[in-house]
Amino acid sequence: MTTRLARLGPWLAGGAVLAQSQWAALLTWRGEQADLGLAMVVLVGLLAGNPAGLLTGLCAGLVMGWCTGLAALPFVLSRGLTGAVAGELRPVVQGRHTLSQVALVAGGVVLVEVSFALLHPAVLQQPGWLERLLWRTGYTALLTPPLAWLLSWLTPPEERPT
Amino acid sequence: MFALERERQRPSRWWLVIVVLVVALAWSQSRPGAPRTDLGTRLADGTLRPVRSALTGTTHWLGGFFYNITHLRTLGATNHKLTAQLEALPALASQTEELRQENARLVRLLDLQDRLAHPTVAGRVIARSPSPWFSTLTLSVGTNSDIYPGSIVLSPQGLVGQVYQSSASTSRVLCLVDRLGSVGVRLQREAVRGLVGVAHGDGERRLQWLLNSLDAAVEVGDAVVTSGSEAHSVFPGGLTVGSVAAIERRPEESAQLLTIIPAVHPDAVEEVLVLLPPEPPSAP
Repeated sequence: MTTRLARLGPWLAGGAVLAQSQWAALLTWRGEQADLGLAMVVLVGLLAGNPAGLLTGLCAGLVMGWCTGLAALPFVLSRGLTGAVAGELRPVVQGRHTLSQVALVAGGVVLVEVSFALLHPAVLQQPGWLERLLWRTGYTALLTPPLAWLLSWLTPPEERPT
Repeated sequence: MFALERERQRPSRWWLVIVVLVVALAWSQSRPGAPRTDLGTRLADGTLRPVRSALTGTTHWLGGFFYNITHLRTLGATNHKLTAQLEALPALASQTEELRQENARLVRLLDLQDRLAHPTVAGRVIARSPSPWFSTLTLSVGTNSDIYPGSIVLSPQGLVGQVYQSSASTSRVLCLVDRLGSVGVRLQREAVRGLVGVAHGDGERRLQWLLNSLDAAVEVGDAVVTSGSEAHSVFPGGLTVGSVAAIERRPEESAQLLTIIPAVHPDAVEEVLVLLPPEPPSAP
């Protein structure tokens, strides 16, 4: 937890969730919102490892639960799990192309939504759950390159993965 | 030789001719009832017009040329300023349009406030649910404005939902279209007015109403309003909920499943009215 990204991660993810809540309409495409906060969690996990990924996920989940006022625990646990998994994958993707980050963010969206659905099964009763999940995954993955660029810009050169 | 000398000294008579002509011209112009423009003037004007036009044009051109030279420095600055103003115009127009729309919305909200019998508090939507699985709104008013869980939230278009959490300065609203949202409804059209039931949010920006009548002549487009039929109904009767968008006949259940498009889209609502309860709930 000594790198700048590890220190900034929870704040960035929390800010991303707040931005998502504030400007939801701007992030909506075909009725679906991109999960900015989750993309941030996965990227911080991939770039800073654990425990930064785990803590960032927990913070993002906490803010998500606070903003919604419903199902706070499933939000915290699902995002914490996803952040931790992303953190564990850090050695695997270190120094690789942005495409691998995009793929892992897409995987992260699927993981977080599946784990959220397991913890809060009521969402599975919503019509078109799978279709909405796919749209959401694709849309969030599209936002990954600019976010990855932002995080790499925030990372000092000596802390960047080689 | 003497005679030749005298001939040379005789003064010329041409000056006399010129004097006579000038006097005649002056007399002809000043004579009462004379035309304003005499022949001489017309002739002179006609002849000199091209020359005078050319001279005027040249003068203007030279004037402009020297003006430009002397103001070249300021011209650059003026150009920059005008370009900046021109670039700012679309933003200004957009701001003006935003203000116009906000004004229209607030006027409609005031109209609604006047029409309602209940005391109300106006609030602004300051945030929405960041999760796609919940349709919630955060309002800029809370318990400081006597808003407590259970308060009804309206917009000029219709019913929005119900407050489920409130703090001092904010409150959270569960929209009707949320999967947890439900409302007692009836059809507004006279022929099917007696049909009442409960519509539930489907979590996907619509409501579903399982109408326990297979024969009811419900039509697509029928307006759906709150029933308010029971004494302890949460929602007052007659508030617009939405309109029927699709009808699915279910003979096995002797029912029809009505899909209702809500009058208020949670993503589009900006300003709302909150109906105040008659008395704030007592603290536990």
